[in-house]
Amino acid sequence: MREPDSAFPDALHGIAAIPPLGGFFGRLVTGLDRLFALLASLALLGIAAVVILQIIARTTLPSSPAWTEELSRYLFIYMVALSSGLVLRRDQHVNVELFQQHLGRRGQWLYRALICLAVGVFAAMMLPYAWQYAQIGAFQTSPTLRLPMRYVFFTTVVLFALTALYAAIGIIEAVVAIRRDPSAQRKERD
Amino acid sequence: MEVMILFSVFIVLLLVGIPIAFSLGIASLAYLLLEGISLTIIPQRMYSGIDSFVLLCIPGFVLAGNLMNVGNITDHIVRFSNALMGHIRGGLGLANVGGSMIFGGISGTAVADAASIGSVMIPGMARAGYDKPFAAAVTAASSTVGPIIPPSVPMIIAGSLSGVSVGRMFLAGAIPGLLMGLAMMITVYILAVKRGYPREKRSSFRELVREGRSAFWALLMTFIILYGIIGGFFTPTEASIVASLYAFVIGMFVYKGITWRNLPQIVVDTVLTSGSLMILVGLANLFGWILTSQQIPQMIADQILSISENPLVVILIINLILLVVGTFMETIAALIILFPALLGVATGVGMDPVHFGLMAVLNLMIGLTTPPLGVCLFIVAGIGKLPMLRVARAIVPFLICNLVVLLLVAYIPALSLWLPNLLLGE
Repeated sequence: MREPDSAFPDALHGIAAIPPLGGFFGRLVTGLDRLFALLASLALLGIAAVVILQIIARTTLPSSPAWTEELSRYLFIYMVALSSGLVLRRDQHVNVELFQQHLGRRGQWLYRALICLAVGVFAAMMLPYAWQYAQIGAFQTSPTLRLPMRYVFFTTVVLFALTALYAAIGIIEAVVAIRRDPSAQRKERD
Repeated sequence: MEVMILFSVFIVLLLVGIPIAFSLGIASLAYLLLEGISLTIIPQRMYSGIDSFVLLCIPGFVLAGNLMNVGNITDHIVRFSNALMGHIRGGLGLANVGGSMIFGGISGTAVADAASIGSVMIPGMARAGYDKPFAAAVTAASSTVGPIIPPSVPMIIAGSLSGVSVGRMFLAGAIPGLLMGLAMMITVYILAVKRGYPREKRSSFRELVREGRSAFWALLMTFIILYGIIGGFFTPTEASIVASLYAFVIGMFVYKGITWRNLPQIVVDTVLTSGSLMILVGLANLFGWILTSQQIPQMIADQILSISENPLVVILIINLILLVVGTFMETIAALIILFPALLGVATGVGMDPVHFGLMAVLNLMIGLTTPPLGVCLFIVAGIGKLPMLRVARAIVPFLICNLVVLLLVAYIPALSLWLPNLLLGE
């Protein structure tokens, strides 16, 4: 079993990395990665900025603004949602690895594709319900910012959509890797 | 009956290797489909799990830890710890424990401790003549002290589940954390004498001051966080961001490890770590909601109380359950799913929620080093390139040592309650 952690060296994962795809598709995926990494990072920096503002306001102004707490919380939820695809892609989810290291390289890739399939189907199934949930928010606004809650509840749609999208990317990459890897084929026959 | 399906699906998916978050999600989905409950509950419970002002401090603490960890803070901490204790027999082992304790004040997870300290210490100890499984075992065992010493991600979650302030939870961990460290140092010393492990040459006072100066900045961060929260200057979230700013300044200008070039990667790492934690929290919240709606916590509570109503026995049973679950399950998920059920039982026999929260986290931390599934064992075995079995054997004395500390913490409430009650009032 392992926990997600940035301090965790990649070499310890035990699972052979899937080679990235080249070509147009590869560039598209890299672009998406960068976009969502940027957006999620901006959300985190936004939280930091709002919290710093809150501290400054509280210590210097006679009354501190009430909306900072709410805004930082919503930024946090957006950060989680926007990061969900990359979390899957960079294999940052915690899981139990009992037998994976004993599989051959292609076996590991196939295994990875199956995990992505399970996660992806689940996330895709959740999409319509997340959408329904977001619609419930159409009748509510947030207490201090007066933000329609629809936009906040919409984070669940973002979360499941990105998870499903990146699960699909993971499956495609794994399948392509398996088909392109003749050396592993030979190795497994030995 | 449907509840059995919920658990069996979860366990099967877990063992197959589906991420724990989605094992919880898919098992819940299967249950809801069978029961004919509207699936809109899934995004709703997930959202309500993530939408929490308390948990908002997690990314800040993760960021602070990551910022501090770039550069060579681990080296500084280890060298300082070594300058302090290296001249004693088994000195590097003692320094390993001491380093983990200081590092625990920077990072909030045991995994970060094991990986950082381990990558410096395991090769270092092996070179100095320690046997490698011992080096790996000390690293794994001592890394679990990290989340007991504040700041701590599991303590934040325990606080949010029991409605106890994060500051109080953090303070509760201080004395048990020191006690754990001390107990492990004693264990290292006894083993070192028995096996004839080497000692390093004594550091001069000047060396001690030099290494101390660089480790000082790491210790100061822990102090700022605690003092800020306890003194009422900051909320935990504010403290986490102030700590990040502090770590940024120290990393940029003192340790000079942070550059404008590696900064984006640090931020993205933080986002991904927090993201995966919160997705797990969200889906565990859904799973926990189903259990509550089926009154499972009540059933567990009744079961335990039907065995005995003697607080001593009940506390023992709670510990056994947590130890077993902690061995097989990830800390955060175990906390969210089990905490409500066991908290009710514990408070029922007169346990303070703070005392219970700390004891629960300590149990789950010990689970991280319990063979065969302890995460920290995997990490140190990976770093030391050792077979799991040898590390598992070497960890046994430390496991016993930590269990003794656990018993002390479980049955002497003052260890966890004295400090928070002293500083924050009853």
